Amino acid sequence: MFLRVLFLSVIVIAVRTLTLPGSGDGLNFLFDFEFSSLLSSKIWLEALTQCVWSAGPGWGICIAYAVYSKRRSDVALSTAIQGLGDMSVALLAGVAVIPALFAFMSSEEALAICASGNNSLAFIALTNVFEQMPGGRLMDTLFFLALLMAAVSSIIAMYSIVYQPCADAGVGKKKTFVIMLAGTILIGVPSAWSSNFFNSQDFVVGMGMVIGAVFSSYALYRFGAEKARTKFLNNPYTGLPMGKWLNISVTLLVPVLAVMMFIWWCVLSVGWNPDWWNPFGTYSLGTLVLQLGGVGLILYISNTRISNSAGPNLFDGESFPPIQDNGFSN
Amino acid sequence: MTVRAIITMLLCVVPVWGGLILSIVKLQRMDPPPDEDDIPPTSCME
Repeated sequence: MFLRVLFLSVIVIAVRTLTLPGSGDGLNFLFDFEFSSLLSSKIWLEALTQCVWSAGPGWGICIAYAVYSKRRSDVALSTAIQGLGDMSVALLAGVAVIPALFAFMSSEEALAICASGNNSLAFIALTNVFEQMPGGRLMDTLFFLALLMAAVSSIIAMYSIVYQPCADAGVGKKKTFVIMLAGTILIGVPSAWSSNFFNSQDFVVGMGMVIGAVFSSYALYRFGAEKARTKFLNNPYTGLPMGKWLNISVTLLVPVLAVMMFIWWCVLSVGWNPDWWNPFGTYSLGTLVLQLGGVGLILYISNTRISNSAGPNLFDGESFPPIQDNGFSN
Repeated sequence: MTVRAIITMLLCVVPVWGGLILSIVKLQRMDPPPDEDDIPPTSCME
């Protein structure tokens, strides 16, 4: 339901935007490019980071959602649909938003807004654009309704990353709820209050996803990429058999790229900030080490307990465990 | 729009949207009937 409303809203806005005079400049900005920019390391770093943002949370969500998969699920084809769906909506959203800026503003103003980041684009510039647009009140309502739908549907999935491991570790339903509520208040409220805190979380979580990619790759390496590919992906029910390239991709390409990106961002972070060591800076290396180190330490300390609790209930690579009631079924 | 922008747009839109539509159609055709002995890997949300 959420996704249908989101999808339909974005389509309506995109059609309306493309019929505005001057929207062609926005499409030029969106799709035209200089070949020389392909030689820019900054472009590649930002593009790879965007990939991590698109796929990184997806990995966590995929792992949590895998619980609901049926034995005959077509994992490869479903995952391809997930990636293509993400790109399709991203393209559609770009077509819906960027040309509207260029239709109602000078090119210089529109470029400045695009460079200022997503928050000012969505919450400041677009509201002004919608005010000037014929039928803008309806478009405004549709856009923010779509944004709300996207946020709600995402947050349900994001919470599954927390409650699923808690459930596997034998943590009760009420205790898991308290943990999620406390985490939301502790991180969410300051993020809503202070853009510096929000940007710091954005930076640290992004780096956390890069590290998460390395852990995912390591897990597949330990299990055996070839075994996972032949046993789970290339089952008799799949419509999209995966080749051996996948083994190299997940066990070599992904971790190498992730480590390179992590080091690259750390070096940039030191270059940006004279006080890069400050553990409370917005984009400092110090805050990265403090926050990721803190989370890593908590997980390391609790690792044995989680492993002992969850171990017997988890798939051991060969046979599926029996269904057990842990209180979540009520 | 410039010709280069139109070509880039088509190179982005056609494979992505085409791939999505084809994948969905293929998944619906390939989707096997539900099997009663399907057991999820873990049982947390059952």
